[in-house]
Order: sequence, then C-alpha cells, then structure tokens
Amino acid sequence: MDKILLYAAVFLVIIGLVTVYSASSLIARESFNSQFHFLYKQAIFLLLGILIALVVIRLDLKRLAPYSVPIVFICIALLAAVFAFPSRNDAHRWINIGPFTIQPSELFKLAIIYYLAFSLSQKKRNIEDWRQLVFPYAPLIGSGILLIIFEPGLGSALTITATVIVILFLAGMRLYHLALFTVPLGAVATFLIFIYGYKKARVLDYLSAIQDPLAGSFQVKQAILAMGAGGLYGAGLGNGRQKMFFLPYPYTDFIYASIGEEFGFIGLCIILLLFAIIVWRGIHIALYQPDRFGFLLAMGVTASIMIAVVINVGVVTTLLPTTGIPLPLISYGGTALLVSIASIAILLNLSRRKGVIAR
Amino acid sequence: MTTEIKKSRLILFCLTAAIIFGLIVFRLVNIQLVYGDNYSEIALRQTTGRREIPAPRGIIYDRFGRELTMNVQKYSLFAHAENTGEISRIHSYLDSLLEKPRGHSRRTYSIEPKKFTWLERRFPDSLAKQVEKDTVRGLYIDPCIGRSYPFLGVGKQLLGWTNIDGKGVAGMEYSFDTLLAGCPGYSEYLRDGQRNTYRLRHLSQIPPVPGKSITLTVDWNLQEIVEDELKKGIEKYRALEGNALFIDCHTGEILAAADFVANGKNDAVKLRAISNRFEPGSVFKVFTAAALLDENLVDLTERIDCENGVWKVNGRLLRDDKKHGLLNLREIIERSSNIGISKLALRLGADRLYETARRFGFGQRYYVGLPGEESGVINHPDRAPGQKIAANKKKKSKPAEYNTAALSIGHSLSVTALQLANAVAAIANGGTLYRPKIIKAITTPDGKVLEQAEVEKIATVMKASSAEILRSYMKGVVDTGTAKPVKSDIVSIAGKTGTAEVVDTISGGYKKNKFVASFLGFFPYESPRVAGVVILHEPEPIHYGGYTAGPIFKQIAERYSNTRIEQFKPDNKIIASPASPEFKTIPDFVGHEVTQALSMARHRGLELVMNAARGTITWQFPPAGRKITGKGKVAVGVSMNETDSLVMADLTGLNLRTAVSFLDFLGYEYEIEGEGMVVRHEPRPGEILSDSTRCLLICGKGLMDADSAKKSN
Repeated sequence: MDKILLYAAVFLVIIGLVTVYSASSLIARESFNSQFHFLYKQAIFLLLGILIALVVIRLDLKRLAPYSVPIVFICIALLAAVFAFPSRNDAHRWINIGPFTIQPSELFKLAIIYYLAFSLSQKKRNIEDWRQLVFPYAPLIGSGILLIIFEPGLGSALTITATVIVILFLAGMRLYHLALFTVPLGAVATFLIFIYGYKKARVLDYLSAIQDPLAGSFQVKQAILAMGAGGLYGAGLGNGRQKMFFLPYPYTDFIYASIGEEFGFIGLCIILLLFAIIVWRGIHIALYQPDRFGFLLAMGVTASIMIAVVINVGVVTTLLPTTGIPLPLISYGGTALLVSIASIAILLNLSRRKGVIAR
Repeated sequence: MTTEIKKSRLILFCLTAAIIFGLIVFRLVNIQLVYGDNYSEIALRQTTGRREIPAPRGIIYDRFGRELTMNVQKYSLFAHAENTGEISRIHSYLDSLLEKPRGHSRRTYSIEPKKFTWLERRFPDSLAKQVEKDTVRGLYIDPCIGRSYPFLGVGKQLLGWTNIDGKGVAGMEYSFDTLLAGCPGYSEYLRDGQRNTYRLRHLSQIPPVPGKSITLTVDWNLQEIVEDELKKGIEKYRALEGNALFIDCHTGEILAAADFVANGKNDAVKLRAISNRFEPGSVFKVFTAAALLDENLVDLTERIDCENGVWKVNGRLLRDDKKHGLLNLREIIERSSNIGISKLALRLGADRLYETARRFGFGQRYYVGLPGEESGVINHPDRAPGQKIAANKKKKSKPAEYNTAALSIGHSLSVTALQLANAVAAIANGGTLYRPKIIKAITTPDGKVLEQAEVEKIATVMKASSAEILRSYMKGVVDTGTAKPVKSDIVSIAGKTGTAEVVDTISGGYKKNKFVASFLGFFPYESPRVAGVVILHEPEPIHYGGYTAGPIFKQIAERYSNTRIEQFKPDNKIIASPASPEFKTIPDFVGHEVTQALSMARHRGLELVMNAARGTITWQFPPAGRKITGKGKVAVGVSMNETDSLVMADLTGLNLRTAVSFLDFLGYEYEIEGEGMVVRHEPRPGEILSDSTRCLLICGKGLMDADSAKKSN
C-alpha cells in the first residue's frame, strides 16, 4: 500500500476537520445553538468514510465490473430524484434521508470513472472508432451531466466533464475526435452565456475579477479579503474574522479562503502541496498498473481529485468564474467527503496490486 | 499496454497539472503577499468598528465647593433594522416591553430599513437594561452621560444647560463647553456580517479624558435667596421681569446673578443680568455725585435751588417728581432731585461727567465669560446722537448742557446690572474698581488646581474720603430719603433708588407709564461686603424703586446676613473658607474605628451613614477636605466579615451622588427615580440585604421633601 499517499490524505482530512470546526462554529452556534453542529456531522461522515475505505481497500475492484452499468443507471435515477426534494439555495442537489443528505452528482462522478475505466479497457472496444464512443457513452454520461446542469450544479458538471475528457484522452481517443466532441460543446456554452445571457453577469464579474480581484462578486471579494488578511503566516487557528458572516460558505465551498485567513500563504501552499503529492502518487500508481483498467481507473480518480481542487481553488482565487464545488477531503459535506475518501481508497487498493509497490 | 501515445499524453497531463498548480501559487503570491496588506486593511475595516466612550463632563462648583452639576448615566434607544421582518419584530417587542396595545409602537416610531433612527433619547434605566438583555436584532441601546442639576432650577440662566448630545448650549455650559467637555475615548470592537458586535479586551482602547471642573465665585446660598426673593417680588409688584446681581465689594467676585421673567417665560438663553441694557435713571446720580465730590466742585453745605420742580435748560424742561426748594448735595441724593444734581453736573461739564462714567466702567464689556454680555451705550454729551442736527438748527444755543444734565440723572445711556453693581462696589470699598469675575478656579477632576483667578484691580476711580461721604449719603437715602422701606433692623443698608421710564425701542422715545424700578446699594454700611442691584421692569401699579426693587434688596440682604455675613470675608483662596457652623469640613474617617469616627463626626456636627456598626472604616464619601452644608451626612464604608449580614442604612437626606457612591462601594445595583436628594428608598432602612438586592432610590428636591416623605411614611 502507498504510505505516502495515505499520509497525505490523512493529513488533509485532519486539516479539514479542524478548519471546518473553526470556520463553522460561529454560524453553527447562530443557526443550531451548538458550535459543534457541523463538526459532529463531519466527524460522523468521516467515521463512515473510514469504514468504506477499509472495505474498498480490500475489494477486488475488477469483480465489480458487471455492476458498473446498473450503478450508473441508479445514479442517473438518483440525479432525477433530486428534483422531487425541496430546493436549498435555489438548487436541487440533495436527497434528504433523515438528518443527512446525499448528493447524487458526487456518486455519479465516481460511478462514471469506474464505468469508463472498465468499459474502455475491454478488448473489443476500439477507442479509435468514433461510433463506438458515441454509443453508449454519449447518452449515458450526457444524460447524467444534463441532469446535473439542470440542478443547477455547473461546478459538478464541469468537474465530471473534464474528468471524462481526461480519461478519454489518456485512453487514446483520437485528437480530432476529441476536438469534434469539445469544440461544439464550447461553442454551445459560449452561445448560451453571451447570446442567450445565461449566467452572463457572473462571467462578466469573473472577467473583471481576473484583473482586479475585488471587482468580482461579493462572495469572491470576501474570499480575496480573507486570504489577503491572512498574509504570509495567517491570523492563527480560530482567529479568522471573515467567517463571521462576511465570507459566504466559509466551511464548504470557500473553506480554502477561510484556511488562507487563518494559516496564511504557507498554509495554503501546504494544502496545494499535499494535493500535488496525491496527484503524483496517483500517476505513479497508474503507471505501474498491470492492466489498462487499473491505469484508467487510477488516472480517472486522480484526475477527478485534481480537477475538483483546481476548480475550487480557481474559483476562490478568482482564476475561474464563481461556481460551487467542495474542496476534496477538506470541505464540509457528507457525500463529497465519502466520495473523496473512497477515491483515495481506490488508489490505495490499486497500489496494493501485484507489482505496483515493488517498483 | 504502455503504448507511445499514452506516455506522451500522460506527460502532457502532468505538464498541464504542473502549470495549473504553478498558476495558482502565483495567484496566491499576488493576493496574499503582494496585495495582502491592502486586502488586510479592507478586511479589518469591515470587521471592526469604533465606539465612542463619552468623557465625563467637568463639574461646576460654587465658591464653597457645592456641586452645581452632576453627571448621570442615561440611555437612548435606537433602531437600525435590516428589513421589514426585523422592523415588525421590533414593533411587537416594543409593544410588549412598554405594555402598550398592539400597534402602538408602529404608530409612535417610524422605523425604516437600513436607516439609523433614534426612538427615545431618554430611555428609563430599567427598560434599557431589559432591551440590552433581550437583544432584539436591529434594536439597540446607547449609553451616554446626561447632565443633572442637583439644585434644579436655581441659577439656570447662569449655569445654562446641555443639549441631548451633552453639548453645552447656554450659560456656563455653553461658554466653557470645550473646557468642561473633555475628550471622548474610543474602544474598538469586532463586528460580523450581520451587524452583531463583539467586544474584545485586547482591541485597542483610548480612554476618555474627563473634562475640567470649574469653581464659580457664586455663593449658591445667596443665589438661591436672590432667585427666591426676585420671584416673590415680581409676583408682588406685578413686574414683567426682574434682574439682580450681587458682587463682593473687595474682590469683584460675582456672588449671585439672577433673572426672573413673569408668566413662566423664565427660560432665557442669556443671563439677562449681564445682557439686558436699560436706562439706569436716578441710580446713576451717585456716580455724578462721586465726580462732584472727587473734583471738590461742591461745598457740602451749599444749598442749590431746585426751582420748585421745573427748570428750563436749553429750552427744554427738566422736572422733579416732587417740588423741592433749596437742597444741599446730601438732600439732593436722598430725595433724588433731578434739577439739583443737573445744576451741579453743569459745573462738572460734559467731559468730566463722561470720563467719570467711563472710569466707573460704563459702556464697556468686562468679558466675565458668560454668553451675551453687553457693553451698554454711553455717548459724550457733546457728541450725542441727534446733537449735531440740533446744533445746526439753533446755532446759538448750547444743547450740550441739556445732554450733560440728562446724563447726570442717568438718561441717554444704557447700562447692565453687572456694570451698576460693580461700579457701586467701588464706592462701597473706598474707590477701587475691580474686574468682575465669575470663575474662581479651573481644576482637574481630582481637584488639582490648574488655573486660579487673581483679584484684578482695574483702577482707583475715586478718593476714599469722597467715597466715605457718598456712602453716608446713600445711607441717608435708606434712612430718611426715597428708600425708607429698605431700612432694616438686621443689617444696615445703603443705596440709591431709581425710577426710569422705559425706552421704547421702536419709536426711540419713552413708553408712557412704564417704568424701570431699581435699587443700587451695598451692605452692611459700616464695613461694606456685598454690593448689588435689583432691577424690576415695568412694575404696576407702584413703580418707585424705593418701594419695589428696594424691599427686594432688603429681603435679600437680611436673609443673607442672617445666614453668614461674618463668614463672608474677602479671600482669594480657592474653595477655602473659614469653618462656620453652616459649613463643615469633612475630616478623614478612613482608617478609624467606627466608635472613634462617630465621636469625630459628633464633634463636628456631622452625621454618618454606614453599612455596619463595628469595624474599621475603609472608604468615605464625600472625600476628606470637602465642605458640606445642611445636615452634613457623610457615607462611610466599613470593612466587614464575610459572615456579617448587611443591613440597609438610612440613605434619606443624602445627596444622590453620595448615595450612589455608597451603593457602588457596597456593590449593589440600583435604580434611580427623580433627581436631587434621596427622599425614600427600597429596601427600607434596617432591612437585611442579600447579594442580589436591587435598591431603588427615590429622589426629590431637597431635605424638605425628604422630611415630609419621612413623616408620611
């Protein structure tokens, strides 16, 4: 088993737990009369995540292959089901089960990665034939992504799309096929934004914020102020002030800014470094896989983590337009935490395969 | 499985990842290191706020250290709501808090979203504390220091008052506002995005600088007497208005300055005793006489023909109130003959008469430090307005003679009560004119003297010998002349009456049958101490100064002499005055045993209020060295064993300040109703107190109230 990967992940999870508490305690006390409200819930999911990880690490991943298509269908069904539940912040992203909620888009992401890795590694599949790619992938993945876009969950949709593209790219898809697939997508997106006006204001905010970070939307401005206030060393754990109802979602989508205020530039760089270690170990594990399935699965999981980190941090630092996705392993959020822990567990599982550790 | 395509693509993936991570780090450097200070400052600004800590306003004391002003904690209620939901919650909360029917608050207060609105500027303490405890979003309490006057209305025009924001707007409070106000301090607090505030200890705090205290030259005892008599006199003689001002003959210190306006319009912003100009009339004759005596222009036995009441000068008629024949100077003054003094004044001539008047301070401001002080107007008789035109018309006549005559009897000039009182003080003290003062000293809150007013001699305005003669004439005015009702068995008064016609400011002539009645004098005659003037505007039906203003002067002189004439010696020492039965210097009780302290107190005629009957005294109020009047109650704190139960002391009769200090020392919370002295309190004296006891102090105007309250209990 890859110890470096394990340590990096454990370290990130611990940072996550501490900073979620620090960033959420005030809001928790205000809304739930208990400063530990979010910490407790996160800890419960963490325990659940550890259990899942222990199972996943020991699993023979190849034997799950026959279930991959049904799992994808179940996820699509769940994605459709979210519209039956009441919206939160004007978005249908969650399914409520008792005191907890699950976020099907996260599950769908993992299911698609696994399905693609399995499907693309089959001998009969010819990656260079575009017809084989359009069916069955286009309807299967496309319908899920469309449902996520309608939630609306643009951030998740973007993460999944990017992950799928990376997997197909690494699997050997012909570049002009890729272009045929992505260029119209980009054109449609551009048309929607600038002609149809969908989220145009947000994109314009973003364009001005690249120049001057404070010119962006309120949330992004507060995030920049938080990180700026942190400076090199940060204000120290618990001393952040931006989380006091200035910075929106300081313990979920904007936790990176919240950490930036309390731990400064050094803290943020350490987090980036830990994620870089995870990506490095992920690629390392992928490279030494004995089969195509292992390679694609390891790369898919690694890419999904990396893309989520890049989008989350990109949004917080105004490098990308505002869209809400959690920071893997750190942000508060049950399903996201479980899926990111499971992703690490899959990498750890793959690292245990014959011949990987030895090299 | 490791095809060539795959490897190059993997390298491309890795490169892309590295570039993206590099980009992010570059962005972080920019945000956190390059522009970090900028952003940090903006963040600090939105997360912290500054709150002003009001500075305690300086106290105004009278010449004997009596506190004329007090600072009390007051509360204001304001709203700053975010949205209509908050506003309706505020309204329903206020309805229940004030125990009013639903909708009352909505009708009374108009609150708009995101707008700061004062709801109540003087909110009762108990309700304010409740609001603070309940923390309704958008509804806040602002504590501020309010001003209270223990003597209530006494000296209101002199002291002035402060507005709702604690800024002096009238009287001493206005003219010495910068001195009294001090400098507010600041405390910084944290606030969050929902306008909640958090006070944190380590945030910087600039303590307020308390205002400086002012000690007046005024004797509040006399001030009270003067106001009381003035009020009674105005009712009795049906006058529109009265002014009075008394001065220490030997120092120029103003001892009392009061106004009273009939019909409850007694809230003038200016002290009229220094801001009202009027034509003095006959009281001015003493200054004409002073000039005559000083210049040796009259033989004291010389008899002047008073022309049986009518005399023509420059073709204009001069009249006397009564027909007089031959009178000497003494009789002219005593009977106030216009013709007599005018004839003599012509010997002086315009120049010398005018110079004498200027020398005595007329037509000039003293700048005593109160707002609205007037200079009055005095013109040289040769250069009087209208003079030139008259001269041109009738070239041969000498109209200046008429003008000189008019000035000599107090016409065609305007003066203030302050100028008259100060000028007569010079006659009383043997010829020295002092600069009138109202401020004795400026001190720090802990009693250190910063500045002390020196007695300032302006000039010697007449010879002592002439002054002595003139004083005897003024005594004659009271004994046999126009001011017989002023003669007193208690104190010998000397003075001069005045009955002038009221100048019609619109037409420039005189109003018919409207008079200014005045009495200018000093007492006691043998060794003059106090000089003063009482002026009544338009008394009816009696309008003679000797029968209206005079008796008021007499009442004041008698009452004041009864209290403490021998105590009233010229001295320059701040607050220090020789001990007298009325003024008790408080000894230092701290460190003494209770029994010892009791005998010390008994020896000095003081009464002690204490929290235990045994033990050592560790605290006292007022502090040692202060002087107190009245029943002389001093609060002392006795150190106690923890097991001793605390019994409520009798706080009635204590002034509020002392009572509050005592309760603060004992560590009890309290509420205050009313102002002034403690009249009644809960728990009652003798009740056993627990740690959580809240005391209620009910205050009233003075000991009289306290006594009556005691009886009614």
